[in-house]
Amino acid sequence: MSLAEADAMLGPGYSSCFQQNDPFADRASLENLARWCQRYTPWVSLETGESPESLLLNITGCAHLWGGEESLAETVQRDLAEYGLRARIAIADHVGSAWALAHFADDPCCVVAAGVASRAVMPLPITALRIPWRIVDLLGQLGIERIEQLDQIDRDSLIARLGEEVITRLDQAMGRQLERLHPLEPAAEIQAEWNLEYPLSHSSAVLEIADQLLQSAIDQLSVGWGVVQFEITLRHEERESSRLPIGLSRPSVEVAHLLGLLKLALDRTKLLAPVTGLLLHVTRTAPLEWVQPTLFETEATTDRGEWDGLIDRLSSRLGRDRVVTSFFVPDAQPERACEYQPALGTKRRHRDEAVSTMRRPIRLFELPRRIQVHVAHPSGMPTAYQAEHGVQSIAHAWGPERIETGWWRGQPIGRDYFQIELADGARLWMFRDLATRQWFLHGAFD
Amino acid sequence: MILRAESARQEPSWAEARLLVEARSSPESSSSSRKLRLSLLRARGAISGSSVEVCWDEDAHSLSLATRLDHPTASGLPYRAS
Repeated sequence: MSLAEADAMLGPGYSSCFQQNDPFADRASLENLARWCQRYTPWVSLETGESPESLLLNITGCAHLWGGEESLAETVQRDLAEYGLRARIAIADHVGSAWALAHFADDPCCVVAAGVASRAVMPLPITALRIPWRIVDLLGQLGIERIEQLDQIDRDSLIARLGEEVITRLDQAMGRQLERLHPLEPAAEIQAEWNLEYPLSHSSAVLEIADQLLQSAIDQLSVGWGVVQFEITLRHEERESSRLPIGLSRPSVEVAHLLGLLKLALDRTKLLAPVTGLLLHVTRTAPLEWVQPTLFETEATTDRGEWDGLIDRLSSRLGRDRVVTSFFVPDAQPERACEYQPALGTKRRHRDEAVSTMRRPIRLFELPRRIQVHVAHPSGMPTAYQAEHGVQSIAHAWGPERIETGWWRGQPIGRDYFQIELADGARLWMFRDLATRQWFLHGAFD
Repeated sequence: MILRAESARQEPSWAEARLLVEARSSPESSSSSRKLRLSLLRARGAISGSSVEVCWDEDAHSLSLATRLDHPTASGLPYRAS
């Protein structure tokens, strides 16, 4: 339709945006995305055709690494959403059935169990078979609109009237004919090297050379892609090479920022011997995150960039494992309810469910502290406990909240937790071990 | 926002504002509500020292003002800024 017709259909308050069709750029973008998807499986290919729009991933032998097929599908969808991409995903036994379900299933994230893919595609429209539109129109005129209707027709008749292509596509969707995938070739390694005539001992000189290597590496990147991880190898005479891996929270092409991180890492690491050569290798790349600049900077746009930059600098200076972020883990045992992962390279997870600050203490002691408790009869509620400086009276107590874990965990626990408030308002968390009947202080709400 | 123990109160800080949060006992305390005293220790461009008592009720998701306490200097008591 014409642009004027499109504008008219949009209605008031909306306007159309016209962009020249560029199939080469579209294909290049899809290839970049395919290489990005190689993190899930090394076997990624574009669908066949002049203008591919879909990616095909062979996840045989890979799904268990991601917690199963459903978990993998959700992970891919979530990861793509972080880059503003909305994807329809289907996992099935065959390429044809997966393509059909991804495009036409009601669920945008569809995982079909092994052995039932052919049944799952039956109710789909025949356009899901990737057959030419003229054949779809012709079949529509004959009243054939769904795959199950087409499958019931005599095969020889179909071949005679419509050609081999329809039968081939039908067999591919039903799993009766295998379809080859041609994996995308891995991207050329991005690296830059500098061999020195005379060894260098000063880190400032090493940084000057690293500056040029970084610029060379940035120039090799595809447009729209940035560095997420790179490694610099320092070669020494009569000594093993030193390796400095540098990671970033967000992809970047700013040489100054990358050089700053390298400087912090060099400050942390002494040069063991004079340097005879440098090799810079970009190990991970990712699409750059584009942010629309505004006339006035807002807190939202600056805070996130500053925060990521701080994570990068601290991780380079202190070490990746020294800068961590915490995540809630769905575990009943309080000591296991939180885990720490390096802040660098850990994707922002979807927001954890809010944990009640009144049900769980802010501070959990490293180990439960055994105490002597005075208990009221017959309620069993604690009334006082023996503190370091004397008997501490308990003004209020609430509970018990029973937490038990299963025997299959190796060291199961059984505890009755109480929240207590002292006379000065301080709140503590204590429990009585069900097995030993001993009392312990476990945390503080202040 | 950085959460620090009261023992870190005397340590230097780059924070633009510092609040001291102290628990307060109350007969209306429950497992989902409690009374807290908030004292302004430092704030750029503001006078520190004032305090308020608030009641936090998690079930009702409400934070209400219990009492506004006078600035300690108003009572004539000696006050030392931190």
